[in-house]
Amino acid sequence: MAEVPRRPLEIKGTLEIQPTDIADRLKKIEEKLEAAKGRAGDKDFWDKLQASGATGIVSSIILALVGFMLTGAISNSVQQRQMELASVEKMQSLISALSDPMIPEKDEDVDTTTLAAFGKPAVPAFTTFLGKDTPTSLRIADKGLHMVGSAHPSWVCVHLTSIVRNRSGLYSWRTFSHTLDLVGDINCQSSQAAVQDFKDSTATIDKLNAFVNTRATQKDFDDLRAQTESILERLNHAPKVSWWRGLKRFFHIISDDEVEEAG
Amino acid sequence: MIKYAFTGLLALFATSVATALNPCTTQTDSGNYMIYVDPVTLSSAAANQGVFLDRLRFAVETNVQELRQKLVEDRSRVPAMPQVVVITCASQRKPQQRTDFTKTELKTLDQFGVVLELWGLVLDTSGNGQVGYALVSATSQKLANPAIYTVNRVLGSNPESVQKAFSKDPVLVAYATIAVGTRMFQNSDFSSASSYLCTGAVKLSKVVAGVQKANTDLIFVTEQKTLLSATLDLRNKALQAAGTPPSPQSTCPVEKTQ
Repeated sequence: MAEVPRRPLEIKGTLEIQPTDIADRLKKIEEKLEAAKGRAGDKDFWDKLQASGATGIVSSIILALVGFMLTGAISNSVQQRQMELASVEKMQSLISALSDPMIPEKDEDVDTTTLAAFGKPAVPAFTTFLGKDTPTSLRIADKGLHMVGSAHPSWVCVHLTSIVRNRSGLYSWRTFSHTLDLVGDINCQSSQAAVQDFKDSTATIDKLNAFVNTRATQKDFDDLRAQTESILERLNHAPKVSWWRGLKRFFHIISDDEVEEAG
Repeated sequence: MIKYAFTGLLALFATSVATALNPCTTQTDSGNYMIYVDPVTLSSAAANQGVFLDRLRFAVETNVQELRQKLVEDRSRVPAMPQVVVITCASQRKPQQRTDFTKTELKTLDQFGVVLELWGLVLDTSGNGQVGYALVSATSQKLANPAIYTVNRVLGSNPESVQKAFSKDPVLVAYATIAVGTRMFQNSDFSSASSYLCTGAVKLSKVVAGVQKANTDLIFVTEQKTLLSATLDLRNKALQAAGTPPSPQSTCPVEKTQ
């Protein structure tokens, strides 16, 4: 192949170099950095806390506190339950002795007092005696609930209210009579609506006999009616629970060792 | 801990306030008029208390026989008329004095259909005794406050003599009739109540006249006059409630007492 001779080529013109968009972007970044540096002095507490890494420590402390409280509450609850179970075992022999309708008065007195000394856990047992409808069981219930009610009136009142509201035919008119007496004696303000409802439900002897397991005579009905009115009157005029005590009770922050106020 | 100590303290304090009588029976009222008969307290330990109580029960049954018969007859007018039931109490029940019948005790007896309790029968070696009567329904009706009485009697020292002494006890008959009449009044059976209260008042007035003549127990006479007067007042109320117009027949023929 024949060799082509080389010839120099000359190009004439101008080359204009334009700034690219990369440069723009770089510039903007530089500006933002500058602006960010300016704002560094305006950080709030949370930013600083986050920046310092203290949030981790704080959250750990809170977690530990919640854990401690929960463990305490659960532990207390378990211990309380264990104590109640132990109480039940100890109360068993007393309840058994008191269930004898012919128990001598002296033994009845001692056993009732001992059972009442268990406090709140003894209330269901005494409530059961209240429903038995024998002279002895009613006397035991009266005495026991008066004793426990002296220290824990609101606890006892809850149980009494449930009896006053019962229309199942489980109780005799005598049980209602003794319950109403207790409501008045312990000053169960919380039972007031239940007593009023009981009064309305027993307007006639037939209405009363419709839900009691032992038929009441006219005299029994008259006595019970007069008693209900008297208890309602007594509750209306008895001292009421202070608003502060009521608030505390509403939020259940009353101390366990604190003697409750009736109401 | 403090809570339990406090509750215990309250409980101990509360027990010292009142005492009660030992229970009498497990028998329930079932709507009848119940008369409780308490055991006899004997001075001689060798004597059989069970035999005495058995004879006493028989004597009380004899005394209320007439009352029972009247109640049966009245069933033609009032079909649901209850009957008198005599119940002997367990040996542990021994009221010693009037104050043993507290308000609570009387209320419980009243609620369980007991109208009368024969109590406190004490016999010494010479055969002298004292017997008590607790008129439960009369107390709840406030004929007396309380209507609880004691009478001194010569009863003998063996079961036969006790039975004999009690076989005709006018005091018991009068009290039982008044107690039943009072309960009838309380149960709004005014017609029957007026009749029984009148019968009871007549019988009681005879007892009062007898004791007054013997001039033996002035306190008893005074107490019985008060009871008699209250019984007659209640009888008048029963007549009014029954709507019976006043007539010579409606006058109760009680014996005059000074």
